[in-house]
Amino acid sequence: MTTKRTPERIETKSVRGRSHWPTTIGRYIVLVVFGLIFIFPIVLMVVSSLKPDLQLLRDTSSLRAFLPVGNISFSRPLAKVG
Amino acid sequence: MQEARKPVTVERSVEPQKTRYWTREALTGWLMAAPVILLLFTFLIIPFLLAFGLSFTNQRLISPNPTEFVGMRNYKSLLILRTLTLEPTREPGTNMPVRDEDGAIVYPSVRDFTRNNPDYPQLDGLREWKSWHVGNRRLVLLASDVTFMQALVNTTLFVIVVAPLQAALALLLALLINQPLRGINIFRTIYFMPVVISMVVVALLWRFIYDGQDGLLNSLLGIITFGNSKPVDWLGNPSTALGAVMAMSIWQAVGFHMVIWLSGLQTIPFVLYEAASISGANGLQKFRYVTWPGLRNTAVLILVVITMQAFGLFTQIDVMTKGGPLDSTQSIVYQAVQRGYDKQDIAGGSAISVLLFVFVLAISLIQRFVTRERQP
Repeated sequence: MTTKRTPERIETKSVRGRSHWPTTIGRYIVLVVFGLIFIFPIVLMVVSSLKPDLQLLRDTSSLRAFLPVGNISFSRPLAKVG
Repeated sequence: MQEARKPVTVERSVEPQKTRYWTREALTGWLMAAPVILLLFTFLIIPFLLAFGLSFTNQRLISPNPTEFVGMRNYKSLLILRTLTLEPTREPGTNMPVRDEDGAIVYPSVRDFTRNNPDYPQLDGLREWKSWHVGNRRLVLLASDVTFMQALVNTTLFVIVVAPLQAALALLLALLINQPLRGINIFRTIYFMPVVISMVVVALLWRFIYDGQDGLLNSLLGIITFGNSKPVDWLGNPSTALGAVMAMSIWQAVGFHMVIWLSGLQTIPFVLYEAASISGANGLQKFRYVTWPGLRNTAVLILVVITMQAFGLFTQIDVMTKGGPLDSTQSIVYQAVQRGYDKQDIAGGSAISVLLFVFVLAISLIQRFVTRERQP
């Protein structure tokens, strides 16, 4: 089959032939916004596994929940439970 | 001398114009499929037949008594729905309705009708589910299993909301990632990631996000509205619990259907889009006249699959709400599991499973009928 699947080039050129970069930026912004929605719980999970329990409760009330700050330890997920 | 002419017959091991079925290829094919067929048989067909048979008995999970055949008793204990109209109790002399301290009308107790009332044998043992005020009277809906009825309503509501929303969102995402931008594969991966995470893990994560006191969602809402929003106990409030479960389910599953839409999108020949551009179509018209008709088969597939998956709502409920505040997140499968394994009533659980099967089958057939190819 020789039908093309997706267009080779995004048609973002205006009449004069200049590349219409605001459209491209706009598309990227939408993609990134959705990307944040889909990835934030996973980031939360990974980052929370590195923090000690006490810090967890403090951090969930602010944006620090997504940041690996404070007393993080990469061996915490491997620690024995109980 | 005339000989009687005998027709000449030729002995052949195979009749002419009939090919053998049991060729070598056919046998090999069946042998290769045999392990899977065996697994399907053992873990799908036989349990289903057992469930069907058990639903007509009074089998308990662990019981010293022998199993008895009870016919439709399990189904009756699940499905009976009746209505009852209550007149207000009236004063004997004046026939005015009796009112209590708050001024509300007093009605006879429902129990008087459902317990040992010889005039109303059909209402025996039923419990009150919902009631409405119609004029002066009270219309009461009675059910033999209130929790199961609520589970039916909840599950149907879940499917009605989730199926179109998830399909539409998946289509939107598929259109987004169908563009040949640089780095688009990163976004495809990100959108698909929730699908590969186990539903149990996802449910636990979202339970922390939805938490009433320390939940991330409340914190984020507080930040966005500059401290103007009060924290909501998403999973503890009967009016928001089912919605919260819906949002989480859509988040988890949309990536999967996005990929199916994407494969459908990429089978539409690009020449059609070029022809549309030459005819002067804008983006919206291209979608309506080129994309959407080309996606018809994919749309039918996605609709049927989402509906079937949505009816199987169970894991999220089991991990997050256990049937929810005041039964607001009960689901059919959760009821079946609760009945069969918590209450040890495996026959009742089997009856629920059979009912679910019939229900989903009926809906799938209706969907297939409504979306069939109409002969021009």
